[in-house]
Amino acid sequence: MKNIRWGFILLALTLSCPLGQAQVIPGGELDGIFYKSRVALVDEFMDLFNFTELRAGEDTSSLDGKRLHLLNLFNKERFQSAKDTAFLQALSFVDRVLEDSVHLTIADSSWLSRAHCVGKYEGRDVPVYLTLKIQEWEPELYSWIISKAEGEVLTLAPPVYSRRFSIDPVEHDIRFMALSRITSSDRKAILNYAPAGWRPDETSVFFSLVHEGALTLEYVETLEFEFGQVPGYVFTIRYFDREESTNSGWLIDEWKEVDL
Amino acid sequence: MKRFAARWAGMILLALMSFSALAQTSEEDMLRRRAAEKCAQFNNYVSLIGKKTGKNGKAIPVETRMFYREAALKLFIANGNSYTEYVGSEERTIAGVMMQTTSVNRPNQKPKSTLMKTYLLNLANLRYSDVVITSTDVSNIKVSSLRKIDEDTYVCTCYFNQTFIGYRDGIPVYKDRTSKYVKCYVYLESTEDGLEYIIRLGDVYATDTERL
Repeated sequence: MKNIRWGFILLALTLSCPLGQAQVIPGGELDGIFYKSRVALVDEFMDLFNFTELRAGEDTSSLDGKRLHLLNLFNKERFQSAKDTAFLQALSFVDRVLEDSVHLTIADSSWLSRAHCVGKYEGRDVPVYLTLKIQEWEPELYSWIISKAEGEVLTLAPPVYSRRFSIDPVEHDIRFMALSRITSSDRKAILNYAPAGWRPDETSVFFSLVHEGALTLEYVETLEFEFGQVPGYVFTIRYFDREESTNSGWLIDEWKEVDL
Repeated sequence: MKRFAARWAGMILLALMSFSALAQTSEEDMLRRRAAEKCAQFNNYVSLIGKKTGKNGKAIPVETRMFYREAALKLFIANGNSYTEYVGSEERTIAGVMMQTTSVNRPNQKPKSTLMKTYLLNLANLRYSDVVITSTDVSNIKVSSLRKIDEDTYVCTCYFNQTFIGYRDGIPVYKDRTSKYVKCYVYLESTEDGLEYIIRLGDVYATDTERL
């Protein structure tokens, strides 16, 4: 408990009054301590996590030094006190990272990006949620691929499920003439003509709509990255644009234990 | 002639060995620093394009600002213009370099996307009596790792801050601080002097925080 309290005090000191520089100096926002301590790039987050990059003045020769270094990668607003469950869980997480010498690389298949996008469909803004993962095409050649898409517009949900939308049991005798009508004037209700309970794969619908020019993505509203490299944990980083703070940029905002 | 051919062969072999060993720290670090320098060059032009008044107090002609705009665009792929490439037999048009800006003060507002050509033109024509733009020093520009995207082609991202102050009759009437992320492309090209690394800038993502 004493060690935990000490760790929290040091963490609080480090985050609120960094390295003895308590005031903003002219030009500080361009080159000063707040600029330098911002974890601006995801690469930078990985380098700090892997200890291949250290902040100025950090001493990671001791275990507590290493713990503090990793705790500084958390969104400090998640911690209320040294007895805070979140802080204790973060410490356990940090200790696991150190015990297992976890190392993050772009090539890992166990990290992904979640992009909340704003799309355009039939002239209106629609939310589309994409999950992207890194795919290695050949050694050292990677790109992001869209592994999953979700969104109300991709469910093709009809205005109403009703028996009124049906193909009569004798329609076969007139060579299913109704198919022309249900794929034109009834097209919004098309899911009524699928097997009971059947739902389309939203990712396939996404690719189809984009291919046909019916859906475009305008911009990414929020972005986060989820990592599964720490055994027994999944953690998420989000971007915090804080001025005059050494706790800004890409920071661990969520971490939870998972079954192995 | 033999010596000339031998020298060329040696240069090519050296360049190929260098590029194939791009993962080695010193080579990659050198290219990342060059990417930062290219961004610093761009920032220098941006401050010159915005500047309306010289040190002697005289107005800087718009033609001068347009000259710097043309020079800045040459730092970008296809000089900031759209271009066509062929993928198999399919023609593919790549749009000109874009700048997307979001406002921290107005997080629910749709980001503004502008062609870099248009952004620089607008910058040259701003209605202030003077504009002062300062940027992060080149030595502090943050650069991501280089990632391979094609044979002899790599990309990285550079990050820096920039402050903008607009003046009317000597009084600052607008100020903001912008964080910018610039995509940089690194190509190995055959030039007059042999094989060289060429750096070109790509799309820019910016978040601005209005102060005044």
